[in-house]
Amino acid sequence: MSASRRKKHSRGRGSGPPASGPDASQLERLDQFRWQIPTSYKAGMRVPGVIYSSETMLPTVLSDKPLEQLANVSFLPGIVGHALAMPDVHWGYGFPVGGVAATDVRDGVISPGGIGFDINCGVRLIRTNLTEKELRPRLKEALDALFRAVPAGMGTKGRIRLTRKNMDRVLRRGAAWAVDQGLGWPEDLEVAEERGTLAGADPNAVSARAKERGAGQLGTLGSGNHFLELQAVDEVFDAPTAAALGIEQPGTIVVFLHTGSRGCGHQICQDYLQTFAQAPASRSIQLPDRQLACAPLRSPEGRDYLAAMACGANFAWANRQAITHWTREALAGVFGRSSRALGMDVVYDVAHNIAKIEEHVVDGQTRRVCVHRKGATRAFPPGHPELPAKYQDVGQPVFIPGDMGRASFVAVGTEGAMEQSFGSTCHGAGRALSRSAARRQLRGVNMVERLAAMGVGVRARNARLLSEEAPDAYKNVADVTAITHGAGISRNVARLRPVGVIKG
Amino acid sequence: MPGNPQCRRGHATFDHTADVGLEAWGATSGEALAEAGLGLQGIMLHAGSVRSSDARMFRVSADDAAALVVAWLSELLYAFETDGWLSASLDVAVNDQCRLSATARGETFDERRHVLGVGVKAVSYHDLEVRGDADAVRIRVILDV
Repeated sequence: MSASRRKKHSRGRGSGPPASGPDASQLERLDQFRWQIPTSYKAGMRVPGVIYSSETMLPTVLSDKPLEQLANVSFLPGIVGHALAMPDVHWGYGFPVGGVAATDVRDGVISPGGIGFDINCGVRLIRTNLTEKELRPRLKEALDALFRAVPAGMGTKGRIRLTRKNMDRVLRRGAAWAVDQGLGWPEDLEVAEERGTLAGADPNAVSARAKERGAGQLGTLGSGNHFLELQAVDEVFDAPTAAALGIEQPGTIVVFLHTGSRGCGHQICQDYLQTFAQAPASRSIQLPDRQLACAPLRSPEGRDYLAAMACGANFAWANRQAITHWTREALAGVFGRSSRALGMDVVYDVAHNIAKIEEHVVDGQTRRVCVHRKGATRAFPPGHPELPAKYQDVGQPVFIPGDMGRASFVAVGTEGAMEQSFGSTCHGAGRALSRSAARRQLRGVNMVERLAAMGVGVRARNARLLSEEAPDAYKNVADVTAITHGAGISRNVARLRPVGVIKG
Repeated sequence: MPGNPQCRRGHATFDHTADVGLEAWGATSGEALAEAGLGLQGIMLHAGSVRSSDARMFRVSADDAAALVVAWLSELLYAFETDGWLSASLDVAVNDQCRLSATARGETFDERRHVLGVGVKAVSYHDLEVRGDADAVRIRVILDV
């Protein structure tokens, strides 16, 4: 976790940081892709902040507020190494979105704001044997079938309503519960982080409200930036690795699914922010932002949150598993072939809003730490014991959604990520425009027609909201992945291009 | 009324990179909290008017005025997400800054008449502000969408 300094322009704390965050002169450049916020930037910082960026992207990052938030993250007791910001970082609440922080399990804290409201928001990639040529003539039919099969949008009720007993089973067992119900194949579990079941989940740590909010939402996509897309492999950068993932042929259709734990996870986070606000062990910790509320990992409240967060994570894995099953059924119906014959294997499933207890080398010593990844993806290297046998040689697959008009990326984890970023890389393109700015800029534009002209079919519950999620509202994901690839915290394998989009 | 800061009470959204900021104001904290509730609903309900055909009571308490904003909006979010409750009007009375009782007139969601907007996941404490003086109370809150 050490890096040599090249340049130093620190103003020190005497001048006082502006409320909007550090400016360029307060950053130290470490190398081509890394800048550092020194602890002298703000009294109370325990470790420096490190930002992954490029000369072209850095001004955009500096114009927003995420770096002030990154400096605030470094106040967390027990934080080790650096507080990290991925290149897609943007202003969040408490933690920046695109933030990574590791805290020592012995004397460190856990912060629900470092995971996010949408616990285990993540991405699953499913491959197929279909080619873009085969799909194009049936695209309309395929999108209609998927739109019927996978409820999207706010307030939509799922196809199943969980009883209290089954809800507890989902919270305990995640994707494994769904597979036991016939919602998927046993081997789907081999290719998910934690095999789709995070250990230590205790439904007793989850409020009745969180269970009630989730009961009708299993197998639903939600709204906002969540989506289900049919994409085509556009360009392969590393053929042997792409072959190991089953996506080596350009033109191959894959299903890219981005969703999380729905109301269940949101309520868990909200509940524990309140619990932590009242807990004596938490109240004694001075933090610059209330949304950073935290509790010692070893306190009763900290342990309860970990057990509840695992439940939220498991709900999300069961959710993506149920959607996987209905997606297979829908495409099998359209193409008149079984989902097995369509080769619809899960490639992998990643969580990008989560905290995990992991071992990392910090200053030459192996330490057990709680890695908070909020809008960041785990990127374990080849040979890591957590990886399934089939990916031992290539490393952990990482999926980086872009916008619905341009591209998404497939990458793999690296040793560089273990050395630099607690085994983490970016999670997406990052927003460039706020929702209202996107609406203003695209006033009068028919997004469905505009995307159709780009060759992308869309089904949305509310087409008028599409402008908020338009390609224009996001940074170019290619710029983001050029940085993570260049810095060596993940390695690009293939670029995917959207063909059909299902949105809330 | 909403959107015009010159009015005695109202609400408006403001920009936040990934989420939505909501500002609400009124002559009393009860009025400002009622406006915040209507503002939250305005984000979730894209179109369609809400009828006052039903009534519902809410009681919420918290540690302080800021936490009360979060608890109150979370309560409305929960009522919407579990029962589809939509409010046409809100009458909020606040005691000791950190307890409120509210009467909502409204109805449950009807997909034939109501068009949903952006789903709000939760209510954040980040940059949360409750400012009050002799004749106005102003709330600023960021919602995770």
